[in-house]
Amino acid sequence: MTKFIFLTTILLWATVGFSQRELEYVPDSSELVVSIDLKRVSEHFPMNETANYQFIASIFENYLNTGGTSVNVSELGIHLDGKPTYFAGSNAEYSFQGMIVQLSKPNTFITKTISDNIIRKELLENSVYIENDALYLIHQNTYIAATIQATEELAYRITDSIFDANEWKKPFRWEAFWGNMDWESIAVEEEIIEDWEVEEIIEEVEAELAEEANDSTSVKSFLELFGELNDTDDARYYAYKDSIVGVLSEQFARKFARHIQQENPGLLRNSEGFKTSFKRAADVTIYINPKGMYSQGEFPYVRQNPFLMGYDRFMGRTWQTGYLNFTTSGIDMEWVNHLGKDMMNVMKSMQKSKFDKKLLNYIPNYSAAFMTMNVNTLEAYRTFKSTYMPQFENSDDAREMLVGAVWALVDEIIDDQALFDLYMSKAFISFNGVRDMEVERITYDYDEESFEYTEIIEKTTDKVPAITFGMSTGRSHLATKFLNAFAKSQEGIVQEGHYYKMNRGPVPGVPFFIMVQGDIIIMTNEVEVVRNHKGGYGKLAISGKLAKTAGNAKMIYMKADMRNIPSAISDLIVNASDRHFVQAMTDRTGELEVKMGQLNKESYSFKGTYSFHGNYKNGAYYLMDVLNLMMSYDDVYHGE
Amino acid sequence: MKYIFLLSILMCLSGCFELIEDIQVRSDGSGIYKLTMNLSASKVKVMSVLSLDTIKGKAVPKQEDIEREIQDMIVFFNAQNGITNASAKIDLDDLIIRIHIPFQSLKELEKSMLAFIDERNDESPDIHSIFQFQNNEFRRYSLSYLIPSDWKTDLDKEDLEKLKESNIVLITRFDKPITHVSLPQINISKSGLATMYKTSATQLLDEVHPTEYSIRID
Repeated sequence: MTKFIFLTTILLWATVGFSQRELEYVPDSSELVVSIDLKRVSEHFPMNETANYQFIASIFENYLNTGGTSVNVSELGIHLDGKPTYFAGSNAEYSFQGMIVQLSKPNTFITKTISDNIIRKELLENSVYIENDALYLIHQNTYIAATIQATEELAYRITDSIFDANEWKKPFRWEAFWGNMDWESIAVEEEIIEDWEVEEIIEEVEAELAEEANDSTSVKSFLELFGELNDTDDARYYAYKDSIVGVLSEQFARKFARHIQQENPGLLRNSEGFKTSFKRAADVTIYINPKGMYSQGEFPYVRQNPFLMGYDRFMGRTWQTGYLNFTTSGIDMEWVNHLGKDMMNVMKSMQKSKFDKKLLNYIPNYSAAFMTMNVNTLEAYRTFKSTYMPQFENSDDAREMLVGAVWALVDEIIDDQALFDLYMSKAFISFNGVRDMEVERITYDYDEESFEYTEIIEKTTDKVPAITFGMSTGRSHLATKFLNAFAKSQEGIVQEGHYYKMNRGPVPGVPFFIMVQGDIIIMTNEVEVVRNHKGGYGKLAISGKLAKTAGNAKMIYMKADMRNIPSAISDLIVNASDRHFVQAMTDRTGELEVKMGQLNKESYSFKGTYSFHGNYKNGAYYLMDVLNLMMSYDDVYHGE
Repeated sequence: MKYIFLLSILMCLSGCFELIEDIQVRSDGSGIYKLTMNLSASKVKVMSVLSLDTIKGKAVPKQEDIEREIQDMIVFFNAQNGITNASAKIDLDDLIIRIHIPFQSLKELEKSMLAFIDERNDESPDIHSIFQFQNNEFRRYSLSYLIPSDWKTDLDKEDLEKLKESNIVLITRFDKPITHVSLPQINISKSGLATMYKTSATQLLDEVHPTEYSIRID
């Protein structure tokens, strides 16, 4: 896997040009696609400069077949008009991940990059190599490397059918219990087994098991050992299942190769979202199809919950695309969420909100990072209700109609105005650095007579991240009532003047403080905030353009100045090599700003700008420098 | 390698921990083994470690892994000969774990501990004897089940340095007066019935303090 990542990294930096060819090979059920347009990238970062970076040299030396000497990446046989692409995804039968690279000189590429003798020979002679779940293919001057893994769910179903047919005892599995609750799975079970020629699979699996049984260190001894200790049937069951995964994975890898060679799988052909995403040019484009991530049966309750079946439908029309572009000062990012008209109406309602600017007074100007949230939850709920409740009520599915009925009942009972007044989603969270704070620890007092010991609580100071959360609500008096009640009953809350102290906060041993000031509720682990800044930081609060931008922002706004973060957090890092990496990042910091982008009919976006501190020609040089640093502290990279 | 607890990973990473081993040995060889692991002084660091998936390529245990490991350990010990009513208390607020194992003979406790260590390790650890009580003499042979010797090779110099902050207290109690201890670092209580050996992980790993000693009773 490490080799795969490194090889991908170098390939991503090794070609220039613009082409759609790689995208044509992206499989239909891909959920994540990352494509780098190196014609654009090379305008910022010339390819021949990669040799100046130690991590690139190490990749050549350790992972490629260049005889241990560094070569220019342009000599690897990669097409200089390519667009290297990484893809990953899954369907009901298998999961997969791989990369696609265009080649100018396939033989040169194979010779210089494939270090395994057998794979290299097969690719040179036959252009394809498949073993277990690994696929290497050269097709029309395009290199495709992928791993294809059969799903456990399918392997279990086939194993179950073998055991049922033989009347062998099966072990109890919770997954099977859930599976039996899954109407759709039962409906398609026969079809799947028929499709995959179960007789052939059984023969192959049994031949494999028989062969392994001759090896005294393999399945036979495993079965004998566990047969004595537990139940032979259980061991046999899992041996079958594992073997079926192996057999199926290789079958799927062959099917995968056939698709590419004969049909072209074509997400580009079949997905409007994918096609739309790649119409726009960017240095790096990331495409995510969330449907596949959440609806493949890994979470059976998602499919069984009638409300979430609607969610499943919604996800089917949704995609996300990220665009990254290097600039002279850093990296610009835009993340586009395509939600469709209905959900965009909800999003638009969310934006009809005015931020409570009193909250900004509680964000100090030395804050390392802060985020504000400004959402009209009441309007959003009402739009959501008017859009989706009729869809449930008018559904043909009885379960969805029932969801609509229950929702209508709850909606009648609840006063939505009062509910959303309570939580108006005008809030902020700030990270004010790592501070010395008073914490409690347990230590022991030993009796000299007997050496019996008793626990004592000791106050000490420790470095703790200082976090403050603030929200504005028209019903803050309700919070006061609860806090007073808890303080009276001494349930871990003590009233100390105008604020409350919780002895047990989110971080063990570090007290947490709550303060209610008018409509504002402040929660923090920094006692100075409630003691000395009851009304806010005043002149020390964020101000000017920054305050104006944060105060006027819709949905979310985030600003992080990482200048002091490495030195602040290095004390919290327990591992020496990670700590050294973070300390080394002190000279490679930057600032990140994230805000709401465009709001369109069917999509909206977040825009992020990362601006580096220090002297770099542009964002690509900065990123290469950080990657080089990161790799130099990565133990895996050094093979440790 | 897993030693007695996944918690040992947290102990070596956080550096600042307190370990109290309290063994009560009666004249007939029966007694109670108590182990207290106190990470309350490193709560913030431990919580930051627990929030990670891996450190240096090794999986970081989650809170539930630690709880399950300890529960498994208690089940294991209660299934051994000569041990009944072993129990554990896990205080996740203060990050303290207290283990209580009554035993009928120290030999059986040692056997159970060695079996547990053997079961939980992929490779056979180099621990063959832990302690012994014979002819009114208590002998300690090893502490590597508490402080694994491979910490010295696995940890960076800086991490080893942090172990100086650790505090290890070994208390041994008897029902007869103590007549002799083999190390000058071992203190005898005023009552004359208990000994206390205070050391640190660094002192044990650097062999500044010996891990073998004996205590004789009347």
